[in-house]
Amino acid sequence: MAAESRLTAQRQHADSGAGAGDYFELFELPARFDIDIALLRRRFLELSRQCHPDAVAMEDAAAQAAALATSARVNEAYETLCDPVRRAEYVLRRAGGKSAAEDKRVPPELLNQTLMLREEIEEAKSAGDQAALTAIRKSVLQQKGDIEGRITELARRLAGQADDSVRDELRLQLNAMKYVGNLLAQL
Amino acid sequence: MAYSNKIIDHYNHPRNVGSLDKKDPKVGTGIVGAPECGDVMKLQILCDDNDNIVDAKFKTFGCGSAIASSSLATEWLKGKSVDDALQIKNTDIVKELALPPVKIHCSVLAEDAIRAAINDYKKKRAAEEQPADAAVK
Repeated sequence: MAAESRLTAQRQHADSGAGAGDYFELFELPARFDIDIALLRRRFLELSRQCHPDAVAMEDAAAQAAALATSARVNEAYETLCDPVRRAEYVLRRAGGKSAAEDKRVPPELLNQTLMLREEIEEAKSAGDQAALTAIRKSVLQQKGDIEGRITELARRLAGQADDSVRDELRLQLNAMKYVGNLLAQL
Repeated sequence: MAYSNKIIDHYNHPRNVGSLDKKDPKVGTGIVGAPECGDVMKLQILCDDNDNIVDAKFKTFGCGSAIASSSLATEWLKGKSVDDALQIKNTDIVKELALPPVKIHCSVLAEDAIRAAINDYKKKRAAEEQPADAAVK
């Protein structure tokens, strides 16, 4: 399908109320966790060009508004698929997995540990203890790497099987990632 | 987004920030989190012999609304029996603080924290009574 008619189809799809359209379909990529990032980027640039304000400058207001809406969705889709964690979240939701609001569980001890680390960070900051902050940052980064590894592995397994245990475990790890991400934002 | 004066007041002057001794059998500790935003909340209660809450403390790492919700929760908890405390609903917090719709989950988190703290306290009490019962038998 040509990019332009693909956009039209997506627009109609969205208009029909069937949802915002699928991000993988939008970029004509196979719907799975492992994707060709270079190809995603090429298709993103191609679509962006078509809904760029300059491309529809001569058209009527409705067409310009539609192009603006499409552009927002193309950007959102690209940012989602580009980032491995957000992509895993998307793949999980697509496979019928629960949202973070629906399933708030986290690995055991993670909340305790997060709380303790937040306190340690506060103390180190008020004491101006840079060495302590660097050490905490290093260990949190390590933890982030571990969780990312688990997310990748689980998101890959998701494609083959609609097993509840894989979905639940992926939810758990994605939830954990949110807390670890917040910790890093403090450092 | 416009925040109510009550939220801002609780955020600027949070009540009852701190910790109680987690190992004290009279202390119940609830640690909960909101994975949507990564906020973490710890809420603790200290009870007397008649299951009345005599002190409450919290520590929240999150947004202003989460801090205000837990600060308000500790104020409300003091002086209540644990059973009355279980009647506190997140909607009460929403109303009192006039939380905007996007921050309602903060009040849910506070309610979860209250329940978790009371559950922890009740569990401790049950464990305390267990050996005594066994001794009677």
